[in-house]
Amino acid sequence: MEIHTAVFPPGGTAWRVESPVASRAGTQRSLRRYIRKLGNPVAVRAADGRIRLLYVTVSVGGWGGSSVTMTTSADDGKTWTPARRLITTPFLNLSTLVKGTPFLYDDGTLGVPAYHEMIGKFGELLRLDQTGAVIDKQRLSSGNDSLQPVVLARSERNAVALMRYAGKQSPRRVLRVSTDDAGRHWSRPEKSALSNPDAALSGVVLSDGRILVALNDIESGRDRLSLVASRDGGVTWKTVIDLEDQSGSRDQPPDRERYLAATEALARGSDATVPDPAAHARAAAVQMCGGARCGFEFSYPYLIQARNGEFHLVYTWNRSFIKHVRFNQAWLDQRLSEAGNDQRH
Amino acid sequence: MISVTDITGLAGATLALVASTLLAPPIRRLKRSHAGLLMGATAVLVAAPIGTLPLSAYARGGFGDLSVTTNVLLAIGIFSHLSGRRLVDPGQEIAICRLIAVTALVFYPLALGFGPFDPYRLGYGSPWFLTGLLVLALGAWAGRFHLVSICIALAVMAHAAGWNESTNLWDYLLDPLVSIYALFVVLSGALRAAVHPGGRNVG
Repeated sequence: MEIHTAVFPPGGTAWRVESPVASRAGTQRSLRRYIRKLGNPVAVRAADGRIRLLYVTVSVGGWGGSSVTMTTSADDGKTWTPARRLITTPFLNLSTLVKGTPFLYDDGTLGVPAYHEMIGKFGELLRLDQTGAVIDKQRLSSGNDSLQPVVLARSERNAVALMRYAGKQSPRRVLRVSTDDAGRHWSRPEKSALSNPDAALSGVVLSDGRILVALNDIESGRDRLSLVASRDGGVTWKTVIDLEDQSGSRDQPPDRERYLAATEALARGSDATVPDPAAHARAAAVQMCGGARCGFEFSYPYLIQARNGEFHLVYTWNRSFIKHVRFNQAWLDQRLSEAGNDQRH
Repeated sequence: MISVTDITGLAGATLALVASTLLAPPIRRLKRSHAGLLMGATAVLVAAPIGTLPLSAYARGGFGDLSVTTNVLLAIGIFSHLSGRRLVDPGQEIAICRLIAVTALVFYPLALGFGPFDPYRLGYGSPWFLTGLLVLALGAWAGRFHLVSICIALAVMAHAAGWNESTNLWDYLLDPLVSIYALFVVLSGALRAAVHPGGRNVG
């Protein structure tokens, strides 16, 4: 397992060739300890302009036993420092994972949304100083039903955190907490209006305070991926667009032949310049066909807004590829005005 | 280049592996000089790279960096065995084991998510936590539990010096290995006291 990086130049139309950033063996050498696997990379530009890449490493057991590792690049990703481990729990440093996009505080320190997934499942917020040392850790929730927080700062004092719902009780909804005192205190988690099938979500705050979120807005399965927006800090939501929706095929899941045809059409439909859509379909079938029937999965969205105002969304496409969707504020505003009063939540 | 925290972390893991040889009864029965040679050989063996990593790095990958308290107790145990004389009074060791056991029983469940309060957060520079430790250390010194005071003082100094990878003071005071050891000492002492009510209370 390796973590790769690739550059999409501002204003460009294609990704440059990808290159490896972190590997199991390389991380093991840097950390001088046994590493079994790694995953969940998240990157952020620190206050001093350097890029910090955080990812999780596992020495023993499954993903629940992860700890957070960090590497830094001072040359926009060309070279990276040796990995260093962040110590975030007292019990063998087990079970801190990252997934949500980190953010900067006014003082240049870094907020890193994290979560705990051993015995309990709850959201946390790490704070790193400008040297990358952990200077604080705060719980966003407790118990056994919340994961992968996404922190959305709307003003100097107000922020909302949305969390994947890992509980069993219906209705299965994205959990929401908020703060009005710059993160000193957070409200108790409440179920929001957004459905959630125990799947990751991602979001950004627009300059006018609106929140834009990409998620599987359904209670089970991951065969629909939507963009939704909120004007009131995540209380009510409006669907911007269903980026992918194959939920209609659930009643009659396609066999392998129909699946290959459907996914090839999907790949061609989403990007006419895809060189070999049939290869995409075959790769998807390897991951998504079990026995006679096949399924669809559009998951693990990661949404950012670039300095030039463009939005970039990447997500896992049928567990076989990473799909990149790019749009701008004008398109978003148009979609929201078209949505009008069609408020699904 | 290897960092200071890697050196201290690997040294702690090596110390733990060397001390673990004393758990084997045949080694405990060896002459002190032979036991010393065996422990020295063990130290070389676990610190020497096998493939890309030494054995101590695999152990460190499993149990992490050891607290200052663990390092102090391991060093005392090894020294006592090799020199044949007790460096500290058994009562001192029992007192610190009781303190560690009680703290661990409260601290770990809360820190792992039982309830909304996370005591681990106090280790990131809470003045209340530091004040509490100061009071505890002074109280222990006044009560002649010097080992408790020394461990707290060394842990705070090591934390200030950045001895381990962790920036949290708790990780210098306590770790799961010393907690398990302390619970074992306390429970086995209580069991012995229950079986032999008139005997000397050792735990």
